[in-house]
Formats: sequence, C-alpha cells, structure tokens
Amino acid sequence: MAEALAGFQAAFAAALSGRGPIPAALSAKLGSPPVAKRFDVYRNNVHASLINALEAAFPAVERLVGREFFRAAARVYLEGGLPVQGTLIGYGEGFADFLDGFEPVRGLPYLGDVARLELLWLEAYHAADAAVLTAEVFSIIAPDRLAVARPVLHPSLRSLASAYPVVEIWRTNREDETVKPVRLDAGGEALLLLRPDAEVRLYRLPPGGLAFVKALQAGATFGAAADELSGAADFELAGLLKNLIAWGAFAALDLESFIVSRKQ
Amino acid sequence: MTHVQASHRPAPMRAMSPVPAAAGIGLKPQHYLEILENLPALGWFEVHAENYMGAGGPPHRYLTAIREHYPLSLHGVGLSLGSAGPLDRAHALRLRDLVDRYEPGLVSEHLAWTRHGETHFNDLLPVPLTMEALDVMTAHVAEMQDILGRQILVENPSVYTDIRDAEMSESEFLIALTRRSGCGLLIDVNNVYVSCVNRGDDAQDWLAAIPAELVGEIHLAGHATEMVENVSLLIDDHGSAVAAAVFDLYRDFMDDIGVRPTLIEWDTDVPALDVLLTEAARAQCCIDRIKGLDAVMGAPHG
Repeated sequence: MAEALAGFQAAFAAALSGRGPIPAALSAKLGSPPVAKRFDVYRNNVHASLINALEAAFPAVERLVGREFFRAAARVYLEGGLPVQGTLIGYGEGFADFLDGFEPVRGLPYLGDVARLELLWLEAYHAADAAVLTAEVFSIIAPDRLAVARPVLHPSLRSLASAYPVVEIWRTNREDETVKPVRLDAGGEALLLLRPDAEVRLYRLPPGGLAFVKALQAGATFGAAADELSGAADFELAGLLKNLIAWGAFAALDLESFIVSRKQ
Repeated sequence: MTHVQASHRPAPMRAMSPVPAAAGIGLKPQHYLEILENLPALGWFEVHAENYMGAGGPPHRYLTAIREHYPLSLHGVGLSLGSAGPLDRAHALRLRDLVDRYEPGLVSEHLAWTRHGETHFNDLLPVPLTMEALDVMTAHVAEMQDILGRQILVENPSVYTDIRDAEMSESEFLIALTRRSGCGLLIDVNNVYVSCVNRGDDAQDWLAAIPAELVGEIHLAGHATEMVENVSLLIDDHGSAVAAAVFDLYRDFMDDIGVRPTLIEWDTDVPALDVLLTEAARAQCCIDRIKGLDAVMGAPHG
C-alpha cells in the first residue's frame, strides 16, 4: 500500500473540497509565487471545469437565471459533492433536485423541471442506438397476438411529467433569440423524448399516455398496460399506439416464444 | 522512425491504422460537419476518450464517419493512473471498449491523478516524484496495457507546484516508468514550458534528458500568464495559439529526436476550424523541413 502517496492525495483532496488546509508537502522556490496561489490554480481548475460542464448541460436553465447567477448557483451545488465517475457524460444528475430546494430561485418553481428536461435530453442524445420497429412490422401481427406481446422500448426513450408548460419554456430559452412569453397557468404536461435517429425529439403524451408507457417500461404486455388504464375515459389506445410506433418508441417485440426485431 | 522502443517489458502491439509523423488537431463537435464535408488535408485527429463514453448517439456517429477518413489518437484524461488506490476498473473497461471500437493508432494518458476515493476532480493533479509513486504508476500502466492488449503513451502534465521529498526529477520519473512498464511517452512541450517556468527549472534541460526512442507523440498548445506579486505563473488553459517560446522548444526538440506525430490542442474558446488547421500547418512545416533535411543529410534520426 502506497501510504505516503495515499496520505498526500487525501490531504490534497480535502483541501480541494474546502475541508482541509493546503497540503504541507507543497513547496515553491523563494521569490516565486507562494504555494497558496499555486494551489489556487488547481482549486480553480477543478471548480471552473465542472461549472463549465454544468453550463454546457443546462443552457436553458442558465438563460432563465442569467450566466452570473447560474455560475454562482453551480458553485453552491458543487459544495454538495463532486462527480463520482471519470466521464462527465451524465454529470448533473442531482442538479434539478438541488434547484428545487435552492431558496434564491423559489420564484421560478418550474426551474427544476427545465433542468430535468435538459438532463433527459442529454440522456436520450447519448443513449445506445437501435433500429426502430416500423408500422409494417406491427401490421402483420394479429391483434390478439399483439395484446400479449411485450415491447422492448427504444434505448433513447425517456419521459417526464411536469406541472408546468416545461417544453415551451425550454424551447424558447434554447432556440429563440428573444424569449417568448409563456403562460404558466397553461397547465402541466407529460412528455416523451426519443432519438430514433440523429435528433432528439419531444412529444406531448395524451392523458393516460404516460401511465401506459411506464407500464410498458416496467415490462407489461400491451394488453396489461392497456388494462391498467381502463378507467381513463379519454384514453385512446389505438391512436396512442399508432403515434408511439410512428415516433420510433419500439426497438423489438417479444411475442412470447420468439423475438421480432430489425437487424441494424 | 516513430517506433516507440520498450526496453524491458514490451507491451503487446496491435498495429492499427498508425498515426503518421504529421500534424493533427483535437476533434471538436462544432467542426464535425465541416470536416466531413471538406475532408481537410491533415495527418490525423485526437479525441478525449471521456467525451465518447456514452453508449451511442451523434458523437459516435460522427467519430465513426471521421475515423473512416483519418487515423485517430485516443487521449484519456480521467483514468487517474497516479491514484494510490486501485485502478478504476469500470473506467478502464470503458476505455477498452473505445479502443476496440475505433482501433486508434495511439492511446495516451497522464502522469497525474484525478480521482480520490469516489470523487472525480476532473483535473490533472500532481504526483509526488517518489519511488513509491513510481511503483503505483508502473503497476497501473502495466494493468492498463494488459487490459488494452497494447502499449500506451504517458504524458507529462502541467505542474504548478513542487512537492517536497522528491527522489528524482520529472523526466527521470517518466524514463523509469517506460523502462519498467514498457509504455512510451507523449511529450507535451507546452506543459514542459509551463511546468519549468512555474518551478524555476530549465525547459531545454528537461527535454534534452528524454531519449528519442521513448517519444511516440508530441502535444502543443497555448497557455495563459497570470501575474502573482510581479512574478508570472503560467496557466495551461489550451485557449490560444502556441506561444513562440514553446514553438522554438518544439522545433529544437524535433531537430534532436526526429519528427513525431504532433497535436495542436485548443480546448477553451475553441476557434474556427481554419484557425486550428493554420496552427497545424505551422507544425507540419517544421516536420517537413526536418524530413527534407533528413533526406539530404542521410536520415540522422533513422
């Protein structure tokens, strides 16, 4: 066991996280910049690079609060913990929850959901690729067989329910030069994100649609997922299924005894 | 000519679309489309492995398309070879998947640590120059080379401070690491310059100590200067053109050791592709001149 090295790194790590003094092992020649200034370079590199990563991941949140405020909030978020893996793909997982509880943004109650949407967008963007089952494939399966089939959902499929018109808020802050006003009392929505090809696409789900998709995600057959929703009067299964197929929500079908899938 | 010699324990080599002794640039997402459309004359591209550790999507789609036209170098920044704890196996396997997928001509990492326990600091932190740390680095480099089934290059980092009780110089540490593990070296001339100015050492002496046969790749980048109580502290920010002093060192270094694959790194405030290609052309001129001299003088670097 490398004891001296481990001790040095523990002290250095504690100092970077603000839980310890600058390691005594650091030194500099006389007449050159003092050790404290030198250590600041490392501390600044760590924080600035992670704040930059959050900025890149949450551009709509940043636009909503302004760059200076965003970077200050990100700094507070970092105090709660640094990344746990060596790649920053997926970094920022807890940022939405952090914003939900961050007192200075209490006046923007939708901010957490905008952050959730941005993180899901990135998840869909980086998700595994898979060919999509087309309407033709579904058209040759008898309805009674389809009812007992279990779909394999596309790896990029993500969903989100929000009490706010989160897509509109997100879209205008991502795409428009001048942000358009959004009516917050327009009501909530349920969303589906999919990247069947190169672009991440967003779709609004009808009432009951999210519960249906979640049941499928949990491994239900089409029939069982639909049964769970029999109470929802305005739930139109046929129309929703047609849309899900057209959007590219399905990568394969498990028809009890064999699997239907398209070769990549 | 760019063959990297391992003295004692040669790592198994898998020759795959070798990276030529020419200038290359770091591949940036904002340049994907322009590169595929124009296929600029350039020796090769380098990517940060960690930016391609997602399962799929556009990054892989574009890198696959670009890889069909250019040799590739895979440069890791998150493996933390210098951590006292065990090698991050999950990260090492992600790196192996990328090596299998893209068959890069070069794979490199750093003399640095980025991880302590479960925390990833996302910065290349300094390793004490001790026998103990050399043992740790050697074991981790050997383990990584076993996992990949090939040699890796280890890069000298930018350093901002000395660490007490050093038992050797940085170049001695790196040379010993190659002898023990069979790895090669990626010499970042900008990092040599930044570290030497910051520590009060001589950059020419540093480079003169490196045996030519150990060097598999060279990095060049810009740095920033911060004034601290009227003394300059150089910050390796990869945010500007290569400084004249660094370029001079590079030219002298290649005069000594022969030409090598040379990367222009520019990761902060990334400029238009043309600007990167112009920087690469400067390095390529240097490479061509030395190659021309070698042809006339009878290849002193053979």
